[in-house]
Amino acid sequence: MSRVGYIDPNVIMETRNLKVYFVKGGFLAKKQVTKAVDDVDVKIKKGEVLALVGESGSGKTTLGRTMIGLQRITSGQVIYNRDGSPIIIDAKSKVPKHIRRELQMIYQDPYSSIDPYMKVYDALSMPLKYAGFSKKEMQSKIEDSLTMVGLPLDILPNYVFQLSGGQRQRLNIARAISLDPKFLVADEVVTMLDASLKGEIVELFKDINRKTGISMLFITHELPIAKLVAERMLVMYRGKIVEAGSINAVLKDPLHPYTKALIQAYPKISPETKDVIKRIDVKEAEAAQIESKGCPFYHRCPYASERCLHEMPKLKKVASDHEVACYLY
Amino acid sequence: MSSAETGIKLYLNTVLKNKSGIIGVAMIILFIVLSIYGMAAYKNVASEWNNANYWRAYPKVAMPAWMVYFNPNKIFLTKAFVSKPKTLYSSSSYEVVQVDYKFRWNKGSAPSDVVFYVGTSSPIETINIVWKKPDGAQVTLSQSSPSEATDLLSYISSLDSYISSQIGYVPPRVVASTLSKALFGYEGKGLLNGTVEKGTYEAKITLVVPPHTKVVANKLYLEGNAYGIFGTDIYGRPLGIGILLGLPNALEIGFLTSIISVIGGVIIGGISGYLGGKTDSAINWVTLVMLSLPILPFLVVMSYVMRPTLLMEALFISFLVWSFYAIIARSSAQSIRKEVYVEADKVLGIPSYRTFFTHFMPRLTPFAIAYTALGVPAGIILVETLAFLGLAPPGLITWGAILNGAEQNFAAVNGWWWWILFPGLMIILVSIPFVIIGFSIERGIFGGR
Amino acid sequence: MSPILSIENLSIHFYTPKGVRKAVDRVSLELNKKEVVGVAGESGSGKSTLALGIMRLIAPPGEIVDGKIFYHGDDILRYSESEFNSKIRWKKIAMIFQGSLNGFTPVFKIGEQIEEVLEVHEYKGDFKERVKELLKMVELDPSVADRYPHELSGGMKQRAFIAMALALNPEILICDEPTTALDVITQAKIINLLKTLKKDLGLSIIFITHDMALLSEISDKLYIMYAGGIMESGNSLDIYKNPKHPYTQLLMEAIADINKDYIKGIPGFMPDLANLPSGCRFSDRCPYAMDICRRKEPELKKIEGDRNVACWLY
Repeated sequence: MSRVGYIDPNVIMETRNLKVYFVKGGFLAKKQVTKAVDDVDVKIKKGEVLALVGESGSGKTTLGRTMIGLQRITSGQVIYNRDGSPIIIDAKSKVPKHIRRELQMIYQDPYSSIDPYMKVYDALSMPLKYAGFSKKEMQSKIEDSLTMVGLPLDILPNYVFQLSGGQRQRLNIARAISLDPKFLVADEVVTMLDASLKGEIVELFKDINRKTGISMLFITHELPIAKLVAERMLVMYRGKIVEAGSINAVLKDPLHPYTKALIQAYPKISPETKDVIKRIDVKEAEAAQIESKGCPFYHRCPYASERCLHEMPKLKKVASDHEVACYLY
Repeated sequence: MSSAETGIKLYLNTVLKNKSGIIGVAMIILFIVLSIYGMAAYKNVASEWNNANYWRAYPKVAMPAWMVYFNPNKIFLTKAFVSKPKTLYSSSSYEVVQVDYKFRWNKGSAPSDVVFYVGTSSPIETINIVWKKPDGAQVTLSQSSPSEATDLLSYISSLDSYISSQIGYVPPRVVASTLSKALFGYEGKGLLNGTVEKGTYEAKITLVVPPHTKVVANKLYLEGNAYGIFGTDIYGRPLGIGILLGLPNALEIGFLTSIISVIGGVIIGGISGYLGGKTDSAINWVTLVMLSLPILPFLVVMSYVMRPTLLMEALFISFLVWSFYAIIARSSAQSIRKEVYVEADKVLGIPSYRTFFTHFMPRLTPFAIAYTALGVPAGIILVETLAFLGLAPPGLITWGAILNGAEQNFAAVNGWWWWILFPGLMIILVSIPFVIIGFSIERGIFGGR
Repeated sequence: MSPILSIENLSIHFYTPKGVRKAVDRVSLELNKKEVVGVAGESGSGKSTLALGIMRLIAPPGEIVDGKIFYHGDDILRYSESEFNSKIRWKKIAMIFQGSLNGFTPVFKIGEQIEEVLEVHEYKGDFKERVKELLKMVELDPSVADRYPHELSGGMKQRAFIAMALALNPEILICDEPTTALDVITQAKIINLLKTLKKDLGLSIIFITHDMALLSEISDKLYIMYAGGIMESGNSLDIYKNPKHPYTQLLMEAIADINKDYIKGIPGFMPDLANLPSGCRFSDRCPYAMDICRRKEPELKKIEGDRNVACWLY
């Protein structure tokens, strides 16, 4: 444990210099390294909902999966502060089995993240059974969690495929919270849902956070959803955290050129702009990721300088609740 | 599969949903009923199948009986005659018994064989037959210590000399029907040309037997050239019975090989695909090696060396074909492994064996059932092929062995089509319902047309 | 000015074991020159089926059971398949969709694939020149013609597909969720491109999406679809400012927007298309549902200007 150093007691989940690289090819094919997570330091406070925003391929899902021990770490550490006795996950160690259920995840696609040929009761009871709950405890936990997510108890004998997408997502949430997790990764949980359902599920997550105090990493590419659910947000671009801060600060006053472009480009209800060409300064992404030691946004950035190409700027505090990794600041 | 039905009921419903499926199920039920009937009704026959004497009284290479309707003049069934034996002479050292048969013959061709049957209480010492044709010509046949039933081949030396006295030489391949032609033809050069004397024949059989010998039963068979629904082979064995008795064996070996190989293959492939990583690579390597083995040569060698029983044979075949199912099961297991709910199980702390049984098995089962059905005919065909090559499990009645007999006796050259056609047809026929059912399950479960 | 495309009472049914799914139920729509018509709806509303119906690409068990589609006054549903294929499809009406960025064969160069379209449709002129011209039109470098699909990003592939769709100078471009698979910045650029094409080429566009915020940035006219039927239609600006139909109103409340501090869900589920309620299809989720709403289906009727609403409140 001596390697850990100081751990903030208010932080439940922390990453230090976390790197997750995917290596493709090697022996005969050309070796290709994808830096899904590249030197990331994140702190998630106890009871907090932290939004992680980025486009697909930014590494946000990998970061979430790594935090709960689903992804092998290349280097660095994930520290789960379990009631004052930190659990360290690094390149060599895994999450101990008995701790596994304290770290839960909800997936994007409610249709594929739960086996449609299972009965609702079995889907709920199986994790509880293997977590060592008695029959009686199981029953009350199932009932509590279903009530919490707003599903009626009479769906228990149904098959999962008889449920709608929204109901399945609720069932997934019920499964996860029935295990009394301390930390939850919600990975694009409303992306696949229709507009009419999004609101309810977002409310549900806020509700669970309020009632149970479960800390959450809420991964989404939808800025408005992030705004509704979290107090703080991180903006990730190609494996790096480029901006972090309170939601209001970042959305109102984005600093990083990428965040700026993202907010500029994000569709807003504005029928009066139908004939206006939106101004977007950044270049479109290239297919291949260009490897460099510098800022991953260099090739798209309108303000890029020579320095950006060679050296990645560190996250720098520009206000009490706002950090940015850019040489412009 | 958007309904709550699962298990056998689902598969049955899937199969029975279309007409061909119903036909398939009906055919299998019929096959099973026939197998049970055959095993019960011909229990004793089965053990005598390879005993040539048992079949002596049956017409050899006879066409199916129903061929009589197409040509009643030339094609006919066996006729049997009885006559009362008379004791001509009796002493303390021997007795002479005589049986005299008189019969009319007006068919357009000779019987395929003539069988003289005399059942006596002690062995016959000599038998002497005087054969009188309607025009008065006579042939004498004799033999010492004959068996109870003697066919014309038993008198081949007498008949050969008779033939050569008439036509001047003995033809190369002489069979029972050649000899019968000699007994029914006009004397002279044209003895064997197929023309038949019509009228009343007489066969006077004189036996020398030990004293106090009783003639228990006696009969003269003019063997027809048509018998049973599928005819007979060269030993007189009715092919109908042979085919009937071959059915349970075919089904048994088909089911055994298919169940063993599919279950084995699906479990090995399923686990391999589920586990992934190095274990998967190792298992997959073995599977690919097995897949590339040439099945038939291996089976031939194994069967030749070990002469296995039916069960062993099934195990051999399964050992050589499981890899086919393993490859398919592995690839579907791999695709299931990528499903998010498998990772979700891990997150929820569900042990991996449980994940395998909840998510993988229900998805691999329909595939296994479809391939079990499709594997039955494959197993049958392999075993019949081996039997055809003369490598049937010893003592087992198989269609392949019947075909092997046909091949060895030049059935095709001799025009004995029924000996080849019916066993061959059965191999195809027995495969049909399994293929139908296999495909209808595959279609029902995996979709498609 | 008469519309270039006018759909009248189009019905598309899918025959399933559970019954007849009315995926598109008596839908009428008008598209004028140089106009972007937005079709908005949640999943299962029938909006994509409508697009495929216009292209006459409905495969069994689906069938166009009723209705007319007039292209410059000609009912193109009465054309034979080969006639439609040689005269209308791709030549006059082209389509891009969500998956079309994966619609290129990986083994041929982009240029070759666009040339093939030109060849199949017997384009007269220089293929190479035309490809260059098309790529320029969609703001791609002409060198993209010599690249393979995997060498392009998602946004570039979608642009290249738009170039292919424009190869034969169609009058109408149907876009079915064309930007859903793309990231936000690329999406905005593609929307910009479509606006430019509308202006420069006089293209008419039917833009189908579930994203109401996105739709507001491009559509001139709006059709709100729900469970196979049109609930409300009219001038886009008016509908966003003042939605009339209760479903439209709730949908506007449900849109997530950066400038909003709340979103509301719509309780209940979309009805089974094989088993629509006897009255209004939205009646069982509608907060204003009256007795008549459950008994009789409201017709789409004109309430003011070009605004049509299918609701008994009006």
